[in-house]
Amino acid sequence: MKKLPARLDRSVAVLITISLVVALFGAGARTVSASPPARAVPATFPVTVTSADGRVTIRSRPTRILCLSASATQMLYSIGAGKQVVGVDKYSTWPPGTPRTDFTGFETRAEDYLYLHPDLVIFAFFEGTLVKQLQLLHIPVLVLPPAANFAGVYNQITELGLATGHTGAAAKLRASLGSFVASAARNAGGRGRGKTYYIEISPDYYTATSKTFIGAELGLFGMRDIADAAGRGTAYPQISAEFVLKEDPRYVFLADTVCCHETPSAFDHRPAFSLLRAVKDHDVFGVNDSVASQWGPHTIEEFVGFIARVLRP
Amino acid sequence: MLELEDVSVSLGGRDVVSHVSARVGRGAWLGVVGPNGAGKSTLIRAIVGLLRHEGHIRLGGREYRATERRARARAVAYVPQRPVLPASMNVTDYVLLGRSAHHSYLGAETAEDLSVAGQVLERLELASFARKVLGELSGGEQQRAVLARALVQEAPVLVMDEPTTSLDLGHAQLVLELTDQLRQESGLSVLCSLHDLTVAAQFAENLVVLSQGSAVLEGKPAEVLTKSTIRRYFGANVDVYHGPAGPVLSPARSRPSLGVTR
Amino acid sequence: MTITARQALEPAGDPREPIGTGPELRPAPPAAPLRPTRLRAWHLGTGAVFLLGSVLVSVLLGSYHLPPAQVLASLAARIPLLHVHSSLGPVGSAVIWQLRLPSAVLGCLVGAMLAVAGASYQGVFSNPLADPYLLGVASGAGLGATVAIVYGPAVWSTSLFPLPVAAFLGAVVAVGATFALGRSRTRPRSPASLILGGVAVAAFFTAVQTFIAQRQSPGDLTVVYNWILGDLSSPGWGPVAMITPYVGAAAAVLLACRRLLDALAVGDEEASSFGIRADRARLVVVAAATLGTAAAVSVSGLIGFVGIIVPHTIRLLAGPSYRRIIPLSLLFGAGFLVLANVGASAVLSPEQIPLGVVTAFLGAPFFLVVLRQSRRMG
Repeated sequence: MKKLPARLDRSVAVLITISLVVALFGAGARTVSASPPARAVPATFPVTVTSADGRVTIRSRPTRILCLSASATQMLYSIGAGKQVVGVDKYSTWPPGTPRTDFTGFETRAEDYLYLHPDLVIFAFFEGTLVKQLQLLHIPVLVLPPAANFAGVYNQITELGLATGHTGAAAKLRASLGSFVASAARNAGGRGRGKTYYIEISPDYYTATSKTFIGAELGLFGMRDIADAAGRGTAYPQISAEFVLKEDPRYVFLADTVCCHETPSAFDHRPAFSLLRAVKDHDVFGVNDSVASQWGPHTIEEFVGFIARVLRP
Repeated sequence: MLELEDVSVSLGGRDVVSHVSARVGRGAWLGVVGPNGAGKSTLIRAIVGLLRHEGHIRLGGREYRATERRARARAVAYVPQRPVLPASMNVTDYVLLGRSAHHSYLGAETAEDLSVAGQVLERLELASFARKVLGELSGGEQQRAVLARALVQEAPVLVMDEPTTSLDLGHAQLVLELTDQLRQESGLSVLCSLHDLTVAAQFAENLVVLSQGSAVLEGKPAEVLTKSTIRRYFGANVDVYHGPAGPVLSPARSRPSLGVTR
Repeated sequence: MTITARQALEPAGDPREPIGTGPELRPAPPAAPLRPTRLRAWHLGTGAVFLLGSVLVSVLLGSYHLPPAQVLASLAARIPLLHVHSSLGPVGSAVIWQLRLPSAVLGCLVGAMLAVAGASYQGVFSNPLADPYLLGVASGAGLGATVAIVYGPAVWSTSLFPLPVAAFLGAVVAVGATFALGRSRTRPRSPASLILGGVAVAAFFTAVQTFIAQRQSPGDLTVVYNWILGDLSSPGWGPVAMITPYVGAAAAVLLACRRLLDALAVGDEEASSFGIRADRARLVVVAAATLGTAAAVSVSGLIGFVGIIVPHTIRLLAGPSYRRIIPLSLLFGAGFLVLANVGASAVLSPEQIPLGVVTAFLGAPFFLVVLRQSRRMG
């Protein structure tokens, strides 16, 4: 009687093993090359562009673009492709007058987009099977995930220029953005070098490290992120009030003014924060939440320009 | 039909039944009596295969291994002391559970199963309750349903553990009478533990007395149940009358002034 | 009848008088043939109609407007020998055949599995509130999915399979751990120790999952939560093909064991005395229900309460026998989830309410009713 369970254990183990094998077999192996190749600029459609999930062919110049990434919306309108856009997500706040929808880019059913009859859909994230569903509907999808640095932003502008048939305007935007950023850094004259900062993404001390795009923008000025000491394995670590006090950042940027109604004066009145150097020197600044979550040209000009002003003597 | 040879059962390292031997022939009724904790239920559970035992338990000359549960179920049926009665199950379904060892393990009941169950229900006057659920039955009806479930197993040996515990006198007698009639009609071998010695004596042909796990006495009720043995093994002071159906025990108040000694 | 029997015995009178061979029992009138509880054709018919109706509704309704007549024609066109011509354009056709119908079928598979697993757990553990997530399936699948979303390369998310596979592996590992923990050295597993093992494993896996999710960027976090809240939208037939073998096998095993589940109601000892190996039956049923559930949630996310709502409704309408509950749970569970998904899309259309929220909304009050009922019975 005692031996029975042992034998059954074995049969359960076998059952589990078999099912795992079936699962893995079913998984198949789909490898997709994700490396962006260097390219010449073609002038005509069809074009092949690089999405985060591989190469996507766009047969003809898209005229009904659904853009579910606020950063890509900024890029599209900055390269003159705005007339081809039929819908943008609810977070696309710039430029004004875009055809805004209630979509977030995190819908679960591609069918919901169909009333717009899009011929190109742009995402910043992969939501489950959405991309796959759109592919089944033969609608090309471009996924442009959060850029981690300026090179990433320039690449995305290039891809969007290609995808929409505005390669010339895209090149011009890259150049003007590059020179704006370079001159802002030059004008700061090294006044930011080595200065520490803390970016608050939510009042419970979620922050961003220098590995994020906002970190790259501040890195232009040689500034140093206090979160880097905490961000082991994650670009968006959660730290503590105590950690902020210990690091005593030279500047504080509150990127939770919209979501959570934070203000510099409220920050100043948090327990013990009156001891912070940034509080005493009035170097706590409220900024729009979008600076921490968007990497479009408009956001860049705004935030980089803002930092340049902050650093002005 | 049922032979116990040198049967011992230990629970948690303690011998609860030790070296019991007994025999129930075809159509015979062996009563198992003994004070509380003597090991009656343990012995019965070992016979049905619910507990591991040492020694030999043979049913129709054959020993069953633990894995031969279906074959054993066709050889020995069991009426537990406190049966679990799912309140919302109907009598038909409940009684048919007893046919599990007769039809295929996962399959449905065959026509034969239904006809056997139908006969047993009629025999136990339960036919009109067939569609009722167990929760609606009285205690006596429930106990008859349990008996019916055991009888449809068509096993030559019926083992009952205090089948009358929860019944009043009338229902207790009814259940035992029914069993006895079946024994006489169909040669059913019965092994039945009972609390009430008088009742046990009236139904059993032979009695075995368990005390602290050992079979201390075995024989005809009249031989086994005497004033002295009952005082010795049950610590009770009784007067024993000889009724036509066997010894009748009448508890006698033991008054210290009479100098009763144990 | 009881009275008759008792009256017959009453004259026994003085115990010293012989009881004799006892009074003859009154010969019983010929009884009607026994009718054991079985699944009847009309049960199956009702279930099939409900199921087909739900699927049809879910294929006809959607945020993208397609004329119902054209949808029906498109469906009929695929039936051989019918010679119906479909007038749907390529987009409409893709919506029906690649999105709506696969989602409906996926809903059927998931709903059937969750309902039948819930019924089986309730039978095996003799607990009316047992649900398919009892043994840590949900937390294991949640951890697997989170790991896949967070640490998997980005391209994974578009190719269909890695997320379900990771969820499935997580679920199987969690259940394996539950079985290992629920086992004691001295005795075979008892239902109670299994459930306790499940609680411990669920707590641990949930903690790890929360830890990982909490360290992610908002985008990944949204994807994790979307999965957890449950979703049936299926890109093509891939997910259906992936879980069909598991759900099919599990359903077949549970269907085969439906009679054993009835027998388990009398407890292990008595079941054993009439020839049923209760411990083995329990293990087989739990293993099948759990593996099937793991496969189902790996593609659908954690949809709760289906395993409570459906079996209890059937119990109420068709009685307590698992011979009916198991097959009917398959049919009605499938139809129920498909309808719930239609509801999830329709309530705030075009916005979609997460399916898990809808089932929880329906299920929580139901849970209370069952709890009150079982308290009254106990």
